[in-house]
Amino acid sequence: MNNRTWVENMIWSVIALNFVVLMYVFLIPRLQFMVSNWGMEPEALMELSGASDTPNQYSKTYKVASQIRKMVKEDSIVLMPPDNWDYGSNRSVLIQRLYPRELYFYGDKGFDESLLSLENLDKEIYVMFNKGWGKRFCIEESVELLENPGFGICRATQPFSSL
Amino acid sequence: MIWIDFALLWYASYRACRNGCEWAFQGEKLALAFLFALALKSLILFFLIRLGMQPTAGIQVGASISLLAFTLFLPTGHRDETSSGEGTGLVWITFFGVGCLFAFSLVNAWFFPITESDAIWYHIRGMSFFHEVRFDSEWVVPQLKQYPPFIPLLFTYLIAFDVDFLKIVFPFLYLCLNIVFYSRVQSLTGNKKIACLFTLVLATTPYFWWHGVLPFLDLTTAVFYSIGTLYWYFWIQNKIGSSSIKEKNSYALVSGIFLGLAAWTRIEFLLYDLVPVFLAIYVFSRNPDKSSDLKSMKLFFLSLLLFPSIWFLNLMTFDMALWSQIRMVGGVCAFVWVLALVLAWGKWQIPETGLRLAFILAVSGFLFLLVVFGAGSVPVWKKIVISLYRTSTVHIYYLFTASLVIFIFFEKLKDLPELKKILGCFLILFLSTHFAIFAYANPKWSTLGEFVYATFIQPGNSVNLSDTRGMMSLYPVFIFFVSSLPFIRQRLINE
Repeated sequence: MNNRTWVENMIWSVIALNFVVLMYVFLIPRLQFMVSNWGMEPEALMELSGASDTPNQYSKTYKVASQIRKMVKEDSIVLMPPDNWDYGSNRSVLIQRLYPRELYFYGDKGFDESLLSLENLDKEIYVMFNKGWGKRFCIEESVELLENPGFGICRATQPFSSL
Repeated sequence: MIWIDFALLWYASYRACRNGCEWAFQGEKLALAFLFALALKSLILFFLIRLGMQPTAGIQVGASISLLAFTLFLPTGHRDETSSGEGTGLVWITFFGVGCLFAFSLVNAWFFPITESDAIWYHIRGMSFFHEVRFDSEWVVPQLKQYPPFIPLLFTYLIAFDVDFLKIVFPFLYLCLNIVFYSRVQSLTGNKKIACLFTLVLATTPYFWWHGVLPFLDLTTAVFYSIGTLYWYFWIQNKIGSSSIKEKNSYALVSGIFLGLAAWTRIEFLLYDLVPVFLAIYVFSRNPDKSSDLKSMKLFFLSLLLFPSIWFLNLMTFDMALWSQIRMVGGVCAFVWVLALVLAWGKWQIPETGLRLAFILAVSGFLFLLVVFGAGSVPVWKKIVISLYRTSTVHIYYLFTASLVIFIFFEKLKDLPELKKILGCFLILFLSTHFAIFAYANPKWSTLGEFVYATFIQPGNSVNLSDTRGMMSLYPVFIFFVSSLPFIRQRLINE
């Protein structure tokens, strides 16, 4: 084997090995995922666990967000429980899916002031509640439970200052 | 509608490339025009939003038509496209391989919605830019609000035209990188076989393909930074050589624009930009007889500083405290402006010894800063060890491509031409800058053991850390360097 063959073989080996890893780690698993979920809407894909190289850590939050999105009009306001749910951080997902609806998270700096400033606004205000927070703001007849256990949504009772 | 708008902008950029980048190959001009079109689009959107105008589709098309009308008056240049070397079959294999990978990444970008953590915030920023017509939306967390706007502006562009596939740009960036890389290797070596082989190495590197379907900032930064560096190399080459002034200026301008765009995407790349800036000053100081014409230097600095300066000026209008690391990079931006004014406009000449002294002072200054201000929850010595470990081990994620380093040991480095040595210095300085940045920043985990665990036992935890992703900007330049080695040339084309 002369030197030229050695160098060229080495480069071709790098290309081949790269390609094998590419196929095994990315291309084939992604292709399998696409084939098994072909025809699904992007909203539905967001609620799946994702491809193996980029697992979707927010699938449960996307499910909650999609349900709220269907119930709440775009110009509404939604009061949210603190940003520390059982299944990880979720603020970004909720804002992404519910934008341009206004979201206020309990526990954020200035939340109480924001709440008072919302009174008498000509907008529908909803409360998303969980086991620990939010149900006291609800008009009882409007309560609807979400698919995720412990979570629900309702129309907010007013004035907030009386609560 | 978006196809019409982008076609107008692309054609306008292409006409500008035909006028200003005569040295580029035909395909390279198309790739460059695509990247310039994205840059122009981001500038148009930035100024519309800054002026309080919602960037609706109609306004954007109007802006694109105006730009095209302006470029219609530009004369066109021509390049004689001849290159030696056999390998027509190999060219087709390369086109087919890169084309298939690009096509599959397009399908991925179309199929998968944005659900990746950081990318969700870029999506939110894109929506807020369009709907709220402001850069400091209350819905975005403060740290990300201060980050440069390039990727969110691209999302704004797609949202304005009701396009749902927001990831669509990334596969094109992957393709453009491969086209420009191929063209530059071919331009340097004059050989298609070398260009094809090393382009295939780059295109099949799994990390690059993967990021071609992920909506993060890093592939975009890598494309801009590495392309900017390749053109920077050709500028330096022409500076030392005896090519026309127009060509030198053109390379300097294009290089500066891309290096600036890297900082327009990830602001910390202004720190990495210091590497080509320093080496350019070094080359000018070593060749004082050839440095009387400073126009190319002026163009380089102006184009490099344009994009980051715009963003820093914009940040000053925000009604919020700036993040300390952003303030630090802002200080570096001001420093580079002073450097540019002194060197390019003040015509000060720094002797080679003075430059070496400045380098030693910079390293000492960094160590002083690290010891005095770098101490946090993790001791400084531990941060240095962790950064050293990460800088040397993240290459395992680049797999077999990193093994090309073997070829360097077969080369007689002392006998390398000066230009190749400068490119080698670039690689070492890039790694040193990378090490310095991550030695200063707080590490994700506080012990080296956790990093070792995350590298070898649970690689999924560290494969997408910021330092691993940042290394993407090095690899195209590294592969380019290897392809340019005389040893490789001798063995591949039997010269």
